[in-house]
This record gives sequence, C-alpha cells and structure tokens, in this order.
Amino acid sequence: MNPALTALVLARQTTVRLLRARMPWLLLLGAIAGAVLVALIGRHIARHNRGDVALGVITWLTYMQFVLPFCALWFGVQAVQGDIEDRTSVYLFSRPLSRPAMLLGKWFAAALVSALLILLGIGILYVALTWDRSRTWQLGVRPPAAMLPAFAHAGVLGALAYAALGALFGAWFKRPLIMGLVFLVGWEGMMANLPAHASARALTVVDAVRRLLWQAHAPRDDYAEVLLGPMMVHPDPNALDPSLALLRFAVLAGALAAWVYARREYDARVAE
Amino acid sequence: MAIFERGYRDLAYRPTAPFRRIWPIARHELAAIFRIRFGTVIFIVCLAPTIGSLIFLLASAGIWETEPRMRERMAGFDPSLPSFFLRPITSALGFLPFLVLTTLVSARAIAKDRAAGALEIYWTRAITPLGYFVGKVLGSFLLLATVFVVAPFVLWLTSVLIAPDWGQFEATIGFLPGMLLGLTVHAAAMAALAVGVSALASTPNMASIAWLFVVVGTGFVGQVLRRMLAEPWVALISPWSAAARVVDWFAGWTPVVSYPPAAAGVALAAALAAVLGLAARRLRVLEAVAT
Amino acid sequence: MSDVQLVFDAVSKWYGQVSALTDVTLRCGPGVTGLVGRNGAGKSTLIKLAAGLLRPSTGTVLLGDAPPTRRAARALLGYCPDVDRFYEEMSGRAFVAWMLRLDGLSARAARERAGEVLDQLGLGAAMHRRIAGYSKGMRQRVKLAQALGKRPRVLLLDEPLTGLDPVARHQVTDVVRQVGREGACVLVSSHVLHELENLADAGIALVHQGRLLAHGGVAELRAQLSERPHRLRLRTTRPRALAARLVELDSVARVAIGARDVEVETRAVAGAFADLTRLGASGERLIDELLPLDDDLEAVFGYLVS
Repeated sequence: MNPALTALVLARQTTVRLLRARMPWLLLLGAIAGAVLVALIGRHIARHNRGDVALGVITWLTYMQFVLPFCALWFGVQAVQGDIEDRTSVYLFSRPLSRPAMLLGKWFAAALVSALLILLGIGILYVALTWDRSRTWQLGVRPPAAMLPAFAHAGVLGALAYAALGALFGAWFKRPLIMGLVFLVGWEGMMANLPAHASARALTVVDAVRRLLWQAHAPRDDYAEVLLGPMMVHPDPNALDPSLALLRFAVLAGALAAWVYARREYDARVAE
Repeated sequence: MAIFERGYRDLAYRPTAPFRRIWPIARHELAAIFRIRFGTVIFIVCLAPTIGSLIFLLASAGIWETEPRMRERMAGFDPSLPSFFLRPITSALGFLPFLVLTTLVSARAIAKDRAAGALEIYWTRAITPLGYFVGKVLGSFLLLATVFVVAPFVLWLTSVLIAPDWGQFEATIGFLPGMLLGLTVHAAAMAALAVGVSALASTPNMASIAWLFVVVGTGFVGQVLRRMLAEPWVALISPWSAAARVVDWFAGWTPVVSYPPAAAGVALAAALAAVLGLAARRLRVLEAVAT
Repeated sequence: MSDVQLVFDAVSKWYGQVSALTDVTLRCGPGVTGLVGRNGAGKSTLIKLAAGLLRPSTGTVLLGDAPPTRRAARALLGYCPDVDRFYEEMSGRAFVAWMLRLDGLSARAARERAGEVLDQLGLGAAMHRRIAGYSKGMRQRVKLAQALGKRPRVLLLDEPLTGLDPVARHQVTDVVRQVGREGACVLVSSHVLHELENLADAGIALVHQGRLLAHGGVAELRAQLSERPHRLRLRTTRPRALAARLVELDSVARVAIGARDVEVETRAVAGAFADLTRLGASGERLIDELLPLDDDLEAVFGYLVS
C-alpha cells in the first residue's frame, strides 16, 4: 500500500476509533451544558458586558486556552499511543506499511476530531449567546458573527499543532499525558509571560493563537486583558505571521513524531 | 470414596482488625510513585517551589534584620508572613506540582486497578469497598502531605533555626498551627477528590483527563463567570480555588483577590459530596465486578 | 512461487542490560518449523525479530532477501502475535478485512477473503459478531485468520494453540500444516509439545536462556543426544526370562523388570534395535511389543534443558 493511501486509510480508521470513544461525546455534552448555562444567565452577562467582549472572553478562556490544547493533545496522544499501549499496534507494525505515513494519518485524524469539536462548541456557544434577540447588551453591542472566522481559523490551526505535539509525545514518551501536562501548564504558562520579543515564545502554540486573535479582533476591555495574560505584554508586531508560525510548529512536531515513530521498537518495552 | 475427608485444615490465624487492612493499600499507594525512576524524579521536581523558597531563605539570611525596608519592598518574600510559606503551595507556582502529582498518582489510583481487573481480587478479600477507598485516599493524602504539609513545615523550621534570635519564632508561631492544619485539610480534600474521580473512570488515562477537567476546567469556567457576572466568589466553583481560600483562612491570611471563607468551605464540601457520592455508587461490589 | 527463507545470522538482542537472545543462527525454509522453549527463553523475541517489530542488537535477520524492518520484506509476512488484543468494537470479519486491506487487498477482495478464511477456521457463523463478545478460542482464531488471510510466504505464529479446545486445535493445526505443505515458511512457537511435534514437519528449534540449543527433526535430535541412554519398554508375559536374555546383549546397558514388561536402557540404539528384532523373531516369542519411551519432543526438550 503506498504511503498516501496508508495515511488515508489510517486517518479514517483512527477517526472512527476516536469518535467511538466516550471522550468526544462527553466534550460535546459539556459544550451543550455550558451553552445552556450561558443561555440561562445570558441577561446577566449582557448587563455587565459588550457582546464582542463576552464572546471573546468566554471563547478564549474556555475553548482556546483550555478545550483546544487539552483535547487536541489528548486525541493526538490517544491516536498514537492508544494502539501501542493496548498492543494492537503489532497488527499494524507487522504489515507492509510506512510508519511515518501511519503517523501522519493518525495525526490528521486527531486534528480533525479536535477541530470539529472546537468548531461545534464555538458554534453552539455563539447560538446560546445570541438566540434571545430581545436581550440588551452593554452599549448595544451584540456578539458579532464576524469574530467567528478568526476563532475557526485559530481553532483549526491550533488543533493541527497541538495534535502534532500529542502525536510526538505519544510516540516518544511512556507517559505522554504527564509530559503534555507539563508542556501546557508549565512550559506554555511560563513562556507566555516572557517579554513579547522573546524568541522562546515561538516554542509555544498559545502565543501564535493569541497573536492571531489579537490581529483579527483588535480586542478591548476584559477580552484584551485575558488575551494578553497576567503580564499584559502586547504581542510583537514583527514576529512571524501567526498562521505560518502555527503551521511551522505543526509540521516540525509532526515530522519529529514521524521520525520517532519510525525508529522506535515499541515491543521492546514489553518483557517476554 | 470420601477423599474430602483426608484432613484438609483451615489456616490457623487471628484476623486483623478491619482498619489494619487499610494500611497495606495506603502504603502501596504511597510507594507507587517511587517504584519507577520517572516517578521519583517527578516527586523531587514537585518539591522545586519549596526548595526554591528554601534557597531564597538561606541566601537572604540576616537581610531582613539589617535592612528594615526589605519588609516593605518584598512583602511576599518575608518569612515572617504566612504568604512566604503558602506561596509555593497555593499560588500558581504550586499548581503545576500539585497537578502533576495528583494526575500521576491520585487520579489514577482506582482507575488503574479497575482497568487491570484488580478490583475483583480486592472485592474477594476481607476488605470492604469503603476500606479500599479509604486506603487509597490515605495513601494519596500521605504523598500530597509530604509535599504540601511537611515541606512547608521544614521551610518554617529552617527559617526559625537560621534566625539570629527568637524573633522569627515569635512572629510565626501564631499562624503556624492554623496554617499546617489548613494545608492538611487542603491535601486531604484534594486527595479525596482525585481518588473519587479515579473511582468514576474506567481507564487511568480517562481518569487523568477527567481530573484535569475538574481542576483546570472549573478554574477556567470560574474565571469566565467571575468576569462576565462581575461576581468574584463565582470563581469558587473551582475546588482548587476553594481549597486554597480555606488554607488562607486557617492561616489567618487575606490575599489580594479574596473570597468569603465560608463560601469557599461550602463549595469545597459540595464538590467533595458530589464526587464521593458518585464514587460510592461506582464502587459497589456488583457493579465493579460486572464492568 | 519460489521458496522464501527466514534467516537469523548470529543474532543477539538485548533489552537494556538484559540479554534476550545470544548469537542465534537459524535458517527456516518451506514447511513448519516449531519453536520450543520455556517462558522467557527468547521465543517471542525471536518471532518479533522475524516480524520486524524489533531490530537485532547484533547480527542479521533476513526475510527473503531483505531485513523484515523493510516494507518489501514485510509484504511476505503473516504474523499472529501472542497478545490477546483487538479492536474490540469491530466484528471478526470487519477486523480481518481491515487487516487485509492494510496488506493491500481491495475492500471487496478483503471482505470476501476474510469471510473465507474465518469460515475455514470454523468461525463462519460468528464472524459478524463483535470481537468483544468472543470466547478466548474464537479470539485466537480471529488472530490467526488475520495472519493467514493474505496467504503469506512466511507465517509467524506465536503460541497459536493457546486457549483452543481440542476440536479447534485440530482445525488450526490442519490449516497450518496445509500452509506448510504448500511451501510457505511457517515458524510456530508453542508450549503444547506433542502437538507441535506432529505439526513441525521441517524440524524443531529449541531455545533456552536466549540460546539456540538445537535445530532439527525430533528423531535426529534424539539420536544426537548420545550421552543420554535411550529407554525402551518391552511388553512380555515372561519378564524374568526376557531380562535374562537381555543382559547377555552388548547393546543393552541396563534392565529393569516389571510385572508384565521390561525396561531397557541402551547407548547404541541402532545395535539394540537389531538385537531386539532378532530376539523377537526367534522361536521363544519373548517380546510381544516394543515401545520407545523417550524419543518424543517432550523427552528431548527435558534432556536438553535439564
């Protein structure tokens, strides 16, 4: 089977496997529950906020800063390490398939499922915020639909990058979730507070996602504050275009994951 | 032919008291992280914030007494205040070690037994599901207490021993018992919550991710609600924030962003009741064996 | 179809500081080669090296002309692992068809072939059920089906008989034997020695503590164990009279008298058989039946590893 077809077949199978697990459906349930909550307390939210600020703060804090990184990383890890851990990988590894192509397929499947969840979640949230047309927003500013493409853009590219990282950790480490946790909470948390021009920020995904939204939304009030983080550092206007930065991160992490996946002897971990 | 009358005998022994059967489970849980080199490294890394404070304490010995303006400039680093001892534990600095330790050990405690089919073996021993659960919580608590109670105590002891006189002792002894009690409550509550979440999940990975949602997810949702509704206390839906406030209250310290301690206590108790109630259902013997 | 050989040339494998295999040289051609050894002897490591799941620390493994870590070599391979792991949510047929698709069969051909091979292994009626609901024996047969499905030139079976009932065992051994007879190179590891003995027409490889102790036919191996006396049981109605005649023979080393038989130990098995045949054919009718006691795999295995 040629590598392109291998990647395609594996992507399809991994997508089906990931969707058959409980996790995506629990997340969807969580998104719906969150939306119901937002719909119920919508009047209070509107009383204290402009629509663009409310949509920005909720989406950034819940979806972009939490659901996107944790889920895409988890799906990336599951796609690659799930097989290795339950040892069904022997069926794949003993077949005439290219391992990098297999990893590529799994990575895309993880990114696809994560991106779908994020897009669906943001869509549901938007509907929950705007369904009641009689609601009066502060200064009359309703949540603008024009903000959604930038969220979708950042969600898809972010999912690709975080899933690549998950695939890399899954291929590389025996306990990828812990490493992922250290990366998300420790590394990204630390790097995001460095000065704006610090080149180490390029080693994070969150910085590019933040810059992408900053460019697209020109945020204000609370939204600007949460987007900038506790150190309130404005993004560096001279840094690499955020979309390109996200793609670069994804490709590098994906390539490294494919390299590790192709070389590792996963069966050597299991004593006879 | 009655071959069953050949003299098979019961083993003669006096059964131990039920509570003594809990201890092997707790000890096993406590030692789990140290059985692998990676776990030992993680444990040491989790002590890093306290070790950092210790180094700062040793490096700044004598400065507080000779430079009175230091106390004004660096109030957060003043070893005569509770914030110095609590900073490595309840601030964002202490959150990562807490998260790593609980995700690696406590949140996987029961889920890994369930995934391995070990619950069936436990349930056929003379230990009840409650005893098993208590053993797991106790083991996790002892591990968390080492990092989040014993380490700050060692830090306090060092601060007293390197001080030139009894000034540091007199300044801190007032809040020390309360602070240690608060930290103990914090460690116990978090251990119980994490092990409770572990009882709900079917695999260790699922348990870890569920725990992240409970701790990190509620934190983000709390932040959203706090900002959107302009009501600071809503952030207490995060058990971590609630527990941290309880510790501050025990230590008699009021941080800049503060919530009513009673509300924090209620929020923490409600989270515990919800998780433990669900865990009790999930740990019923028949269900655990059937699934 | 030309024959494909599986060759291990001075292969060693370490897991960190633990040596799993030491300097193994083995050549498996057409037919079924049995791989025997205790738990932890290195059988699974040997099979995983052949499947390209592990790389040798030193030495070379060749599957045909290429190492099995190459895709071209793995195209010749069918592998049935020892682990009992599946995509549980799939049906038996869907799983085998999916594996055959990964082997390069079209979707339709894979489905048809999956049904065929599962039917051949006695799972025809249950192939549409989810694997999660299968018994251990059924799961074992699904594993075997995914390996046999593409009619591989080299078939690696790691403990394929584990968990099978006698009927299923018979079915499986028939299928594997047939594959070997048709010219495929089959390497089978098993603890069920007497069944492996019947199955392994191309010889037995005996692995112990990571070393290849012996390789060859059971009789051939037994003959080479010259320091171990062969034991024979002679049934007779007159054991004492027979024993008296036996002690006179130079080929007989030791005689033990039973109620209705006599056990004989000999170091010169060919000479002993000739002497005993002559004795049996004589007019005294002293020997009713002659049974070799230790030329089976179990005995050879016991002698070699003890």
